[in-house]
Amino acid sequence: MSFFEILLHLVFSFAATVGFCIVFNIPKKHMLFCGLIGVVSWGTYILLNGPAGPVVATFAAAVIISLLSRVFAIIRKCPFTILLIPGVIPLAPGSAIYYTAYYFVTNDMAKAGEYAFLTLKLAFAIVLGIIVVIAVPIHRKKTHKTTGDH
Amino acid sequence: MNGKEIKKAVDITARAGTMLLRSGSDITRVEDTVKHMMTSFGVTKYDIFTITNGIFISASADDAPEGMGDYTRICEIPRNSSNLGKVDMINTLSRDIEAGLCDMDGAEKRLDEIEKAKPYKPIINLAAAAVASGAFSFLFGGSYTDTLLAAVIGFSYYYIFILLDRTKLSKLLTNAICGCILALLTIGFTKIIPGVNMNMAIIGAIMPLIPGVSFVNAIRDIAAGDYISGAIRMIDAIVVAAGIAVGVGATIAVFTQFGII
Repeated sequence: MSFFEILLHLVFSFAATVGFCIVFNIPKKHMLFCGLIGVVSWGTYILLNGPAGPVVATFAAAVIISLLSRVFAIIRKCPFTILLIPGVIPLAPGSAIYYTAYYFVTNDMAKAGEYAFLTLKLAFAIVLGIIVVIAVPIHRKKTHKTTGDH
Repeated sequence: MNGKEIKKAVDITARAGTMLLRSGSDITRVEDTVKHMMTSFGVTKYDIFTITNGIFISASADDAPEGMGDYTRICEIPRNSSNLGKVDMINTLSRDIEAGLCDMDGAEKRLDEIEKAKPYKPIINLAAAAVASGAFSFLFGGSYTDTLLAAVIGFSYYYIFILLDRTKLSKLLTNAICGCILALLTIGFTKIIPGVNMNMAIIGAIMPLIPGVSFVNAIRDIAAGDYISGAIRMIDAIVVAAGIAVGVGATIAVFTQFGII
């Protein structure tokens, strides 16, 4: 990829993420940050896709944007998911789902199976990437009395 | 706190919790918000039980005799949408209440305002879907023509999606119909415009249907140990993805059968 192509990719990933912010009704004040997280997400993905393959690239991108969303959520005092959800969208295995259906209906079962497993692997990569980060607790849970206590 | 105040506190928190769930929040956030509000309102004894489509809140008055004076609300949330702006507004309200900037009457007023807050206009939504479709088509390796075509298709079929989403049609059917329409449009344009890669245009155009909110919330709920809610969300995401695949796949299958593509 040339420098110009990479630049174009980053611009388009920003536009795509901001588009999703509107689809999910995210307020304007958060859009810049959501867009940035989308750019980091896609940037990490294209950087690692060549040397490490799509699954590892997706996992790494998911870890990085989850961390970034947590940091931004604390700084900006907003829910963590608002920042994370648009950023995850570029990693969503939309093309793998499509190719699974495409090869399935055109009777190429070997390729359909290959893409079905790729879809699962990518979905698990996102799940693991996010869980690794959010499983670390920050807040200590306060306990309260329940209606059964006397 | 007396019974009347308890009733008011439970009503307000139940309303906030219902709005959060309806707008696409995860379970931990709902329970934390209710807990913060209850504590700030001065309720000492309460229970909360939340799953993706229901919230149960119960609280008891301090002066009530044993086994009496409990007040309980059960709210059903039959359908979730993704309006993350409301989640953000209720989060801000919860912070203000905890900081002591807002009492029960103030909270009621703020909730009224949040309920009335308007989402983005349909035309802006369509433009956003067009931009997202085009951009994703480019990111996944489409040419400039594919990008433009994906944007046009994203704009046109998303209008039908918005219309269908307002009806009580099941999610599976809504997404299958949208998938079918977008595949039809793409095949039509591919026939007219030479040199378009059909796969790239469709991949870009299906992205606005991807169930991102359900998927991320499913992960978050499962990570927090709310397995039932996580499972509900995950099945929701799978149903939507399956609907898209069925709609697009069936259309392509028919056209392939007749040798048109």
